Amino acid sequence: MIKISIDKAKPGMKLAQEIINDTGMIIVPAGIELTHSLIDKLARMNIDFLYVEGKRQLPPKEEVLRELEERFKKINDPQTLLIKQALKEHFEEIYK
Amino acid sequence: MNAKVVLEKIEKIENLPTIPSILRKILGIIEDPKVSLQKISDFVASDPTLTARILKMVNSPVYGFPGRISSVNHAMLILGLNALKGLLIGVSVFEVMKKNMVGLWEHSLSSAIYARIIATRKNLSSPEEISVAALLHDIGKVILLIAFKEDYEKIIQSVMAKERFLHELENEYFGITHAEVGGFVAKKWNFPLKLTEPIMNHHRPQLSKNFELETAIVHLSNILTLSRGIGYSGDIFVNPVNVSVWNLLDFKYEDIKDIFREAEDPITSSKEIFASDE
Repeated sequence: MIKISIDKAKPGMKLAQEIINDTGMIIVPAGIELTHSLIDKLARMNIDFLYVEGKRQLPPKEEVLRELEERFKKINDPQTLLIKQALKEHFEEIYK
Repeated sequence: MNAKVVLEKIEKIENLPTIPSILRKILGIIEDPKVSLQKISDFVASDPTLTARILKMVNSPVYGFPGRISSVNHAMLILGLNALKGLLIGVSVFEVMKKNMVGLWEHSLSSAIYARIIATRKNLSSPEEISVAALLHDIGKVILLIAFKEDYEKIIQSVMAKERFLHELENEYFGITHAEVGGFVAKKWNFPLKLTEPIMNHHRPQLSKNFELETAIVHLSNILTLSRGIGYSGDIFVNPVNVSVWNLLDFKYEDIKDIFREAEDPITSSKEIFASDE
């Protein structure tokens, strides 16, 4: 899920979270695909941000792994090293 | 400097010119040990900025409540008095964090998310309270910034060159760490021990005797946030996890991976929600 401002919204994007107005009423449910007319309507209703499905751009993997090594520089105990290993595998999954 | 000098100055923090007015106002209300839920609720409701910040927080992925919480009264029903008091402090130190230590707010939010996830996995009765304790675990840093800005900034800057942990350098300079400073103000503000103990002992979790598990969770949440590289807390290097915490929580490799995985979305989206304004 990514949060975008209304001017970045494009037809075809899918809403990942419902849109709520100032009084707390749901005006568009999650799962709806955006259209030109819907985007215009939302802009007129002063909706500034919305959540759409998708992934944002990630920093280069090599950089992320290098920084991880740097952060764990002072670690040599087995427990925290296990956390490090779990995190490395987590990063591998994110970049898959 | 020694701990006594530091605490004497912090004791009178409400009178320091550097304290933001919103925080001063809130402290005036919550320091009263007999303050009622209604009084706090009325106070928050009378301040639109504060109301907006509280509602934004409780509706954010940090808490992950289903549906929308649209009033302060509703938030209070769900969170309870203690968590709400903590949250009030949390949202009101936001500006100090943003002005003085960019990244501390993100570090705090992320720790709150990990704490909620871990507390839920451990079946604790109120994950929100632990989450608030984690949100406030570094409140001592904000206090040190308000009370000793120049000295503290120098200490923070030396972390990288000296390759040390921030709390060690604090101890050498002030004779006290941000954790103990945080615990001290939390006590002064009449926070319950369930919040005070984890804040006070998040770097020395073995000292917690009443809320061992809560302290262990905040200790680990801080380490997971540092490990994942979210925000900036003044520390550059990951602190080693305390062995007694590790044994108490009894997590396996797969559990830790699941926790990282589960926290990923709430961390990214809350970062954007809170970065966009205020």
